Amino acid sequence: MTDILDIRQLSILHAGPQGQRTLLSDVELTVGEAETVGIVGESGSGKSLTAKAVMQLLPQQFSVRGEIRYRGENFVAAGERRMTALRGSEISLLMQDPFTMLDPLLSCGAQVAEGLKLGMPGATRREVQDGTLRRLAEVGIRDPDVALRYPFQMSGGMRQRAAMAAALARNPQLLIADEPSTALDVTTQAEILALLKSLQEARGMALLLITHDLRVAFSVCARVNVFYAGRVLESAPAAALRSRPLHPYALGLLMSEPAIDRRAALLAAIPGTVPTPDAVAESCAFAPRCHWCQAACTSARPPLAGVGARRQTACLRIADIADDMATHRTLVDQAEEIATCSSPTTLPWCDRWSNVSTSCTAPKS
Amino acid sequence: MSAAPSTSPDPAQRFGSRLPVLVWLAFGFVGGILVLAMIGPVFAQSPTDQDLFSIAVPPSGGHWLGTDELGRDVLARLVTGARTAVMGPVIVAAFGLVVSAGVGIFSGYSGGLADGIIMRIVDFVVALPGLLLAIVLVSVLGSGYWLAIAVLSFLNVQGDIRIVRGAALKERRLTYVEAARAVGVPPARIMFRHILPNLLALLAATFAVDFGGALVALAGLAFLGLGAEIGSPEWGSMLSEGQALLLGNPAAALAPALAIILLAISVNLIGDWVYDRYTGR
Repeated sequence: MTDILDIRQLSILHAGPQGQRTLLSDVELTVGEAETVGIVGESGSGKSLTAKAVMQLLPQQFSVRGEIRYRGENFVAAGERRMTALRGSEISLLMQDPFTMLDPLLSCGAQVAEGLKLGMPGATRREVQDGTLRRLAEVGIRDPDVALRYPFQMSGGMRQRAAMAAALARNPQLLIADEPSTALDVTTQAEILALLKSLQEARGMALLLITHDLRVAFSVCARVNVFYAGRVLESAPAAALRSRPLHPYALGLLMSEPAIDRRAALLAAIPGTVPTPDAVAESCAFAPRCHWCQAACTSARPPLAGVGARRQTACLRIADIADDMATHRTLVDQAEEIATCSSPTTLPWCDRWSNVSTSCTAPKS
Repeated sequence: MSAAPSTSPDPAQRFGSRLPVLVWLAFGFVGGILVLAMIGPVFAQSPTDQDLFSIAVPPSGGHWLGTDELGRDVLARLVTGARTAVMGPVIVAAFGLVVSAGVGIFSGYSGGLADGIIMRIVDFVVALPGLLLAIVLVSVLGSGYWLAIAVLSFLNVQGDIRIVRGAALKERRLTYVEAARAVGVPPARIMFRHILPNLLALLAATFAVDFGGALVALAGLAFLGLGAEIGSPEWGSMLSEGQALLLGNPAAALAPALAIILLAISVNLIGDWVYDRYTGR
């Protein structure tokens, strides 16, 4: 598979009143042709920044280092004029908040038509109108009257659909969707994600989906990148990541989402808080919170190393701790199963797990 | 979040059945002045006919607002003066509107070097003492209504550019602008198809403030004998000529004074109301 997007050693620095802060450091990420790739991570892990950096939409106070190659062309070196030409036609960005991303004073049809017209110079009004209605129908808005509505007359789901039609108006080869379902209610979320997935398949378009929700990433993406404190800790096929995470942080993320089909006896949580990228610059980013952390983890920064086909992890100790991590997971899973037939407070696992999860002490930094 | 889409907003609600009384009065007053400015001279007496046998007489059936020091009918002069009184400030405010919409939005949206240069020029103009400079320029270059308007337009526009630039800076950070950029909408189109319409309420309010300011400033220049031609029916000069007649015919001074004050207040009230109405306050 050839890569449509290839991000290498992408770092983003922010020059603020407190001096320069690192927000993203040495991120590596690829998206193949017609591939769906997910970025998951907590708030502040640099997911949206990566999206904006790819689109070159970051404000001036952010400086971007590294390479963002789209079909070989480096966006970091491309000028604003070139980017304006590429945005919408080659790569497009769908934003998170459907309540603010449409111009309040333009009807939804006009917003779709705006992008469309850029791609068809010399088109008649009629052609643009037909194209707009077709785009809207594609995202499930089949009533032509809706094209005349203004954002304030539409629901969140409808606005998100309209925004999707606008983002896809010129048939981009790569769509970056930045938390496209987060601001919507759950049923609408599922509709929007299903729509996104079906459009991606029908068009053979590459999709980079940014989300904080692992379930969303697993349901839509073929490959998932786990972001933490401004860097990638693990990159793996979705199924492999779900069944056997290699990085302790990925395991923690997976376990902190309890199953919804049975009663959970324990809610696993990762102790501590997310460090700033600068605080963990020369060690593993997850080391202060990691149960398996050793001296080697904090003495230098573990690289994102390949493990098998299209799978990478930034954990140094995968060989040593794989079994231990699997046991951990089983403990929680068993606890969940047992809980369905007995009172959760009597479980011996409770003590054991809470001991395990809090016994890791943060190394002095 | 999933509010039912309402297709037809209630028109009564949309256009405000509860228009405040003051705003009603302001609309009425401005409307009346505009009508006078357009068709007033047709049915008023001649503003320049002198009746030297009835100088400075108080209001009567023949002269509703009395006469001035040369026996000219005050009402006729007031009505005829409405046209110049309205036209000057409209030109000053319209110039401010067009230039600030263009330069202000460009400066605020583009940022960087262009913004820096434009704002330093604006700072320079701000540093000039406005009305004083107008007085000096008009008296040195020879008085004239159009010269006064030109000078005021130049001095007035800097404030507008600042206001619009600030608003454009704020608008630029909103998600819809970023979303438009993300689908490849070129900068010029974002500035004038997206940002400009979203600033219309602000521009309307700015227009009103400019109008009021220019009205008072032009009347002030005329009061000092600058701007309007001697003898022409102009509210500022009427006030200046009428102040000596306060004991004979107080209406000669009070009528133009009230006209200036009420028009300025009314336009400002309307501007505020429009701004509040269309920014959802």
